[in-house]
Amino acid sequence: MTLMKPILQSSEGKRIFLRVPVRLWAKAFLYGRWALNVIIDDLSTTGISFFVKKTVEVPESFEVDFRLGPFSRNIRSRVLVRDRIAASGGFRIGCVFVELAEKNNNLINKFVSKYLNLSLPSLLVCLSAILLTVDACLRILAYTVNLYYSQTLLGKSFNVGRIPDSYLVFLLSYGFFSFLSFMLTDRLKDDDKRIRFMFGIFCLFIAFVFILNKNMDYLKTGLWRTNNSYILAFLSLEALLVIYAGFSIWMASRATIRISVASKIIKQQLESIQETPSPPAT
Amino acid sequence: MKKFLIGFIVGMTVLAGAYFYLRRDIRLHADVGSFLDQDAFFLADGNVIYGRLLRELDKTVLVETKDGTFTLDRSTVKEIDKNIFLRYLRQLM
Repeated sequence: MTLMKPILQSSEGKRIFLRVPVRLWAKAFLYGRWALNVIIDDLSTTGISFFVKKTVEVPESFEVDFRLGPFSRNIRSRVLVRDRIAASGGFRIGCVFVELAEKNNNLINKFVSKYLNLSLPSLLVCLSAILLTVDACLRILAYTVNLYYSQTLLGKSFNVGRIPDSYLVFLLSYGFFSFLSFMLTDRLKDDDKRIRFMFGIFCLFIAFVFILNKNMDYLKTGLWRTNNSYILAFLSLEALLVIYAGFSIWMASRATIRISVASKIIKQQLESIQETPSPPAT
Repeated sequence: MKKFLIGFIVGMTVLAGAYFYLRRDIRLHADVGSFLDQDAFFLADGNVIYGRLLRELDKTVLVETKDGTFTLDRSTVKEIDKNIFLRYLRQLM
């Protein structure tokens, strides 16, 4: 499960609507007239919550109008206040949507699902790790060929950029970390895998530093000025690999924050359900 | 998917290693060495000759290519790039 569903089932069979932390400006309307500006703190497929000061009176039912993004259309719906939780300096008002148009409901569903969609960063990182592993394999192969060549009697008269022996350690570390990253960046299923996934990203970052450093060397040594089209093609691919690896690390880092937030919310909601006494059986 | 990719990479590496080992008889190792040992002769007319520099004199250059050994007039050679592929290999590695 890489796409976390916005609606989950608790152990008691209760439905949990996953709330996504947001910061959206909304207008509250009472009897069709603007009454108040609020900032929505979290949003789920069934409702919203926001904070108001103690002095502000919030009616039991009113209309809200908000947008999910700068280019998103306005969502307007009647909401019903479900709870008022005292917080420092005011109240946290939890509301549920009533009379929410289907197109608006779909839009919110999409927004929440997109927020929790971790399949793309997971795939990006995994692909990045395998590409770096292949790159490491090619470099190790080139090192082996060079090692073999050094043992022959060929080219003894010209010293063409000797490779230091310590370079093999760097090369093997690069291959090791790339491969480890490939093994660890499995699909994110739950919070337990988050640590593993983050360690995988860390390994990928180490490999990324190596490849970035190599590409900087290509620039410094003026290799880009060559007329050889094969070498230029290789350098272009390497540069693309660096950009892609950097992008995937950035995306994955953002995803780990999201999975952390989502896991925390699920845990909190499950705890709140367990704490709530179930009604007596009739 | 991961198992498939790991299997593919390991399989390809083993195959490449086995091929390199088993084809000793056709001098693959020596061929690879000779390829890396090549020098590039950039001629004044724009052509490039890949071969091995055997001797460099004041007015002539003795070159060995796969087609044979011949002498080039120094004035026709604009530039000689020695061990060109080995240098690329070491720089790119």
